[in-house]
Amino acid sequence: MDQLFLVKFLIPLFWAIGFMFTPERNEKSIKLYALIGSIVTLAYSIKMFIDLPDTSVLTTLFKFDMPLFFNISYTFAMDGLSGLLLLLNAFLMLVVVVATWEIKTDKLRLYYFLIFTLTWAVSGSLLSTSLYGFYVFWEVMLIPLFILVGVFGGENRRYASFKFFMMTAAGSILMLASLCYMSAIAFKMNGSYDLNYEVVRALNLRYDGLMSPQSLVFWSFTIAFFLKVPVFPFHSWLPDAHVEAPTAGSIILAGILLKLGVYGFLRFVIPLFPEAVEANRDFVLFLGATGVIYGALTAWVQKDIKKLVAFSSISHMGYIIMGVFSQNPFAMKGAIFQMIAHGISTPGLFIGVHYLYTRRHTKKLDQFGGIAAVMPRFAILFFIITAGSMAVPMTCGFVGEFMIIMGTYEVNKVAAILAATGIILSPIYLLKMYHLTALGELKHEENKSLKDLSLLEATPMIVLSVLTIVFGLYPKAVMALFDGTINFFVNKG
Amino acid sequence: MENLNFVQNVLIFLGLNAVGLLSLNVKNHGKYISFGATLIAAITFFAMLFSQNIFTLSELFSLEGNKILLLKIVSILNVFMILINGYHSLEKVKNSILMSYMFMGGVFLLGANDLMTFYVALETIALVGYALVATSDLENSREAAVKYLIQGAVISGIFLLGVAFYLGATNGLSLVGATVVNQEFYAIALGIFILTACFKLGAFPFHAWIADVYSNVTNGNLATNFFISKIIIGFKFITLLQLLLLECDPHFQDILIRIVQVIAVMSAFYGNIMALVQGQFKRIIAYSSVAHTGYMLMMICLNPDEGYEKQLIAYLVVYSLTATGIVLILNQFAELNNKKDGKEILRAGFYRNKGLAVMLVIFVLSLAGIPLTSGFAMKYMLFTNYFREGFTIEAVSIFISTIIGFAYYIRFVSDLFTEDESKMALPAIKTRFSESLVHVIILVSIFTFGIAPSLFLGLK
Repeated sequence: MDQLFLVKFLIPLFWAIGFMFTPERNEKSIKLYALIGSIVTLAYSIKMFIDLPDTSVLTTLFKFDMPLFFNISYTFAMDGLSGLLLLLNAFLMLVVVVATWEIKTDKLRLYYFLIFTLTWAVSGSLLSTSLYGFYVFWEVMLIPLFILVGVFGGENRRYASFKFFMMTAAGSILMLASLCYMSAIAFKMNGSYDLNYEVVRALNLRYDGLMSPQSLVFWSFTIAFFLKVPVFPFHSWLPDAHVEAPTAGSIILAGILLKLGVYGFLRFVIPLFPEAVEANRDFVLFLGATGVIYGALTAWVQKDIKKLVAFSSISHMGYIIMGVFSQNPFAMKGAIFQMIAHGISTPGLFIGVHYLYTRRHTKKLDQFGGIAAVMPRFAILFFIITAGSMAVPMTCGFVGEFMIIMGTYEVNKVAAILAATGIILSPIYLLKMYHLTALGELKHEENKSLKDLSLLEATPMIVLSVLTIVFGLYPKAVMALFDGTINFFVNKG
Repeated sequence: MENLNFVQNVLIFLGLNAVGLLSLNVKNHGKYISFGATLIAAITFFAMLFSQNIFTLSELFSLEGNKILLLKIVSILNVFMILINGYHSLEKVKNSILMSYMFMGGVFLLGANDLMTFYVALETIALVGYALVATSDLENSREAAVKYLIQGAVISGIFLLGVAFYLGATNGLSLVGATVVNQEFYAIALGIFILTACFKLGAFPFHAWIADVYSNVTNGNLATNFFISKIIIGFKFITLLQLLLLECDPHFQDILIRIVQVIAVMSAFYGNIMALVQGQFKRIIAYSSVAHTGYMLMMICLNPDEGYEKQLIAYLVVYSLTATGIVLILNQFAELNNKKDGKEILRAGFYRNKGLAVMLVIFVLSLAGIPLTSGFAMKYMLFTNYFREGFTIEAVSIFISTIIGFAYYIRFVSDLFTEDESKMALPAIKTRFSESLVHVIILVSIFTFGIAPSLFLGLK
């Protein structure tokens, strides 16, 4: 166990609290403080990952009993999967800080406070292996995002933040009900409310149909995670949240928060409720495939760039859910890879939209066109990231989707074929987006004077573009990090 | 010797408060004398509670175990309330005296082992409650007090009918060790007691008084209602009904438990739905209290257990503290709105007083049951118990109702952070020392109960 773990883990939270003591009017020092904080967080995340002795098993980082909280024990542990997502989380915080460096607001301290708290809560969820711990951070992360969207968002931010909060909180309540139910059984068995892995397995929840205990617990968790991912038809909050959220919110939301739902499936649902997963596998595969097609078709008809990217997320997350539920090692590997790929390409698209919006104050597709002529740097970087998102071979997006479809085909041919139509649809809507923004003639007078990206602005997009290509050409670099973990999920723990 | 000590202390308490009451008429320094007498009485009584573990007067009255624990908590809250009311305003000193009488009613209610003592103590609390509402001096205080009084009087009459049935069922009024000779009468009596409990705690459909009372009383008086009335009455009724139900014929017991379950689930849904459509924030809290009563009322269905009693105490105290904190802050915001609660009083609150807004966010999130706060710990504990005792459907139903709760609790947060030019131009909200003290106490309690609930009350 790492004795200093708790200190490292709490860094983002302490850093967030530190914003209260930064000089209110000195914008530069606040931003610098945020930059240092995000670099420190990324550095210790990398160090923790490097120190991990074996990525294929869950290594306990810190464990403590909480005799004062119903005698529950609390375990922080990490394996290849959680480590990789932890890195993505810290990396995206740095990206957010750099990409929104020029942000103009009189509530800068609150802005960074929320970002750091959110990152901390996400880390907590990723590292918690006890169900209780996972739930605590799962709930806590709702509040900073709610305020971030509600305060720094667009015109309809109140509505969007409210909808996001209500839908995800509703799922959380279902999960809490199951936790209480399992705690009650655990108490009867062991005289303790503790709900770690071993305890939940030992509960041996019976599965013999839809209304059996394991099935009900499975569905309460599944609905909570479906809402978070979000899986069709639980997705309606996502486009609103993305459209109204500030860029930081969109990046974190698309980059890491949505993945937490998938992570919940991998970490808890699949290993703990195997019979229910098996019984509902085909149903979820079809839901995933429907999400792929629905998300793609809806993205196609969008006139708002941000909304288009939001719907593309629903489509991509559909693939990931299919990969996870197919229970095929190849598809599952693809799903985890796709989580990382989506965590690179979609934030990249949102950053691109952010740069367009800060210059033109509109996100309407028909207000752009031909900007490659005046913003060549932007056009090139935006193209690479768009290519990654549309799964062009030799980009990171291709690897994951290909593996998912191939793997799923062995399990459910119809669902795989349906999902494969997404491969045709995604270039249609993403190329349309790129064409309407960057290519063609400069129709609008206002666009003629647009400034290209500065070096500072280009940096996050360059990094994301490089990763898009590197991971596309050499996916093994990422896959090697979580390869061993797959057995854990396929063999259901 | 033990009994004498208790009687002496009660007499001293009543005597000092009588002095306090009479001193109110003394010109110039009367309020100071009153304040001193009330405070000394409260502190002396509080100190006395630590002298022994059991107080017995006769078969009719005894205080022991968790009752003493509860009394210690309420007693210290009573001292705090007197201190917060202070000695500057004659009105507040008068309220402190009334509060002390309510407290004494609570002491006797808690220790009552027979229905006559129980009834008299309950009426003492109720009468002071009516007076506290009527003297609140807000726009509709008197109207609210009259409504409360009339409804309360009807319920008192019905309760007496229940007492009569109980007498017929057990040939006595003792609540301990009674032998039931007529199960039908006994079941009717218990049904009436459940109805009374529902009224006193504000459960659906006996909640009609609650919204008016909550929105038309001052802070101090509302806090008194929470601390003394709700905590003691809630504890006494629930633990008493748990015991009485054990003696009931299984057939009637099933029916009564079913009635309680229906009322609990209906209260949870009704309270949450009604809170959702309210415009005024105090009324939101009032209806949310109906919902919380529903969550808590289910405890009647559990078997008597010392552990459950402690959990009930924890739930009542934590809920009362948090709700009081919220109402207190709402009033601070309302002060700049001509003391009127309104739809928009919280708008831009964060930019007018950051500390106060953050406190309100934490208090509200605690009531919503967000992890790391006391509200979550209590909810987790309460619902796990219901699952443990096999009330799965009821617990799941109530859980679902709490989803609605999120919608109105989050409105507080949303409003506080909303940028409203007209509201942001208003002067910053100032907080008095006594108010800050209360906020900090509540904040500390929210986090200590939230992170370490077992530290207090030996929760397991």
